[in-house]
Amino acid sequence: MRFIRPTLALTAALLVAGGSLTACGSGSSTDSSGRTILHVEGWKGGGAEPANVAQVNAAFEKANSNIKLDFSYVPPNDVYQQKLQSQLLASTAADVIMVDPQKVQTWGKSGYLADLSGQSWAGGIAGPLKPFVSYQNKVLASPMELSPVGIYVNLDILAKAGIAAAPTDFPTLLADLGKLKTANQPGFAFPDSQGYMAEFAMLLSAATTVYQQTPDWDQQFMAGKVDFSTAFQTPLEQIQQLGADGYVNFKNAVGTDETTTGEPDFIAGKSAFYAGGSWLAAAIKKPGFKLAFVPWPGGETGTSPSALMFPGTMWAVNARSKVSAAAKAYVDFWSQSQNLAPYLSAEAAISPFQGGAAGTDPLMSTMATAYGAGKFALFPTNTWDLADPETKIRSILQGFLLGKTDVAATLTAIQSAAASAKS
Amino acid sequence: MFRRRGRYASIVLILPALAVYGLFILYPLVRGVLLSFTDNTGGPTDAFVGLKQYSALIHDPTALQALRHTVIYAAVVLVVQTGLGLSAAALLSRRPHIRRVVSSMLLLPALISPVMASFIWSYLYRPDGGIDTLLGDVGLGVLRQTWLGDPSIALYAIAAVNIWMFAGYSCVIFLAGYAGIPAELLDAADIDGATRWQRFRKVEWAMLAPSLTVNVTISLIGSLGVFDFPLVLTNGGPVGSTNTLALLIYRDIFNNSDFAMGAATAVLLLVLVVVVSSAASAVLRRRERVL
Repeated sequence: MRFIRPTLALTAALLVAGGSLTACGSGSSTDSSGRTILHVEGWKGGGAEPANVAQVNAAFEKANSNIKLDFSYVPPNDVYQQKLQSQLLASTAADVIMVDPQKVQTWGKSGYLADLSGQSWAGGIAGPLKPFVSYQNKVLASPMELSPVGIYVNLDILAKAGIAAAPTDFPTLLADLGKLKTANQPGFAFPDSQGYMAEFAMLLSAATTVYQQTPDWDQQFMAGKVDFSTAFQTPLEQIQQLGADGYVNFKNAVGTDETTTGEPDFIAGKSAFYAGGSWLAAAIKKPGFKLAFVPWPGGETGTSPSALMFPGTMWAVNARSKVSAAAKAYVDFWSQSQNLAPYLSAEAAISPFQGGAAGTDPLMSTMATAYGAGKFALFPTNTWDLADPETKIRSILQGFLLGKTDVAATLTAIQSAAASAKS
Repeated sequence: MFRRRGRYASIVLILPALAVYGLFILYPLVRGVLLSFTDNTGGPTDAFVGLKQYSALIHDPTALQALRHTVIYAAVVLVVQTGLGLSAAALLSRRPHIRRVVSSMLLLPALISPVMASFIWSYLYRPDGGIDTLLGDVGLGVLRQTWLGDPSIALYAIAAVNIWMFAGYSCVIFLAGYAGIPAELLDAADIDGATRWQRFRKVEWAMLAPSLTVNVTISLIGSLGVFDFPLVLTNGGPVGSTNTLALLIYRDIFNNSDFAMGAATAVLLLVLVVVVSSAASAVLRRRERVL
């Protein structure tokens, strides 16, 4: 008797532990009423980014009464990466998982993602976007959005300096900043503590000053045909000009955090210009001041700028899913424009499929027009600006902001960092 | 017969602890070391590459820079935190009526999570934040700095947050040491006419040796593995000036999916922590015996 009690306790503990482990896996495939259980994990659909995912999921369950959806929200960025990486290694990840271009490459290389090349929507992905969803010429993910990245402009502040509209070229941007300074109004917020504002600014400017002339510049770079030394001179000179003219204090900028300070300051009306993605739109619109969201005004007087698009969130199917048919049906559902619409609307994003519509948000009209006219570049997250090279480039750009390197030396360093992406 | 049964019983009793230790400490450690000899990128397959990761590590200027930052950071935190903790304990030991209240207040920052403390200090350190405003208000505007934006001071600014959090912790450990000093010894010193400084240097400092050992060891282990503060406050910047080894490990594994390099860096950090803290502990233990 004395030994039975601990033995029972141990057995119970093992059963509970075993049950927990089973529950974590993507294995259990049907519920009590015989419906297929489909496990889905994503970093949108909860927390600060509900993104109408629940609405689309409800529509999917309604249209597929034989499938029961088990959606799990996982906080984005590091938390998502840590959780999913472990689950994929342990074969306990969900049947459908949210990915981005970088994860398509790394998880595709590891064989975690199912080949979706044969799905009906695969041929409809917007042409320039295909490399971002593919690994070794296999389509491994279905894109959900193209998120514009640009400059948020507080038009109320501009009006106080007698400026009627957001600038569309670089000389006008400088002139507007001059007027704001004269009127004692706040100007351009350039927080760069985490290192991504300068990277944004460089790429935002490059959308017009580099990619407008050479849309396939990234591919040419990866092939060793072009380099940064001349091509990216203008973007860096434009950033430098902001400091030289006294519109941005770069030392302060490097000591100011983008997320905890820069964004809240813009929302609080403490700056007139702030660079960011469309994913910030919902938060930035809240105070209700008159707002514009425009491409970086990088061109010469009278020219119109190109937009920068971030090929962000995507759905992929776990290669080890036991219910791959249901998983593919879920991804198919999301790829249809009428189903994707609520998500695009919430995200203020543009459809990644050919002929796909933009969200209906008027704030996005300038970006949508640029996209419709083919005046856009894609964030180079699948070529030279991802993972380790991106971290190094951010650090190099901080040195540039602090005056430790000039334009030429900075471009040489960026060339070296970016070249490591070729290996 | 009884002795043999006792030996078996002790083995049986120690087995669960050994099993847990082996499963959760030794096994991951061995797997981590083995991982560092591969080219693993987070996938289920990899290839044995021998010492290639270690060779890349010692030739990587970013890693060497991070090693230097880690050592400087640990040294600064060790000296200042221990010094402040000791000073506060020395003052409080002579003021029993306020000791409990003040030591509890000093301990409060240690109860905040490091991430939350980092967020609080990121507001204080911002260019128009609390510290610069305070300096301006008290007429010390000349001392204003871009605390986290200047590569020459950012590491020390982060170390200050660490010290702010844990100096109270050091103080409490030293106070426990003070409580163990026999009153007769202090009385004897007073009767012999020792000054306050002489009493501290000749009696208290010697009697506090075990507390010093504990403080130094804990401080070294904590500060050599520092991660949360630089991640939240600067993400290793500006210009890599606050990169630490733990931050590199995190980036290698979770940003770059370079698990093997992350494991190699983790082994380097482990060796550093074990060697430095063991050496410090050994020296201080010997000092305890001598004293």
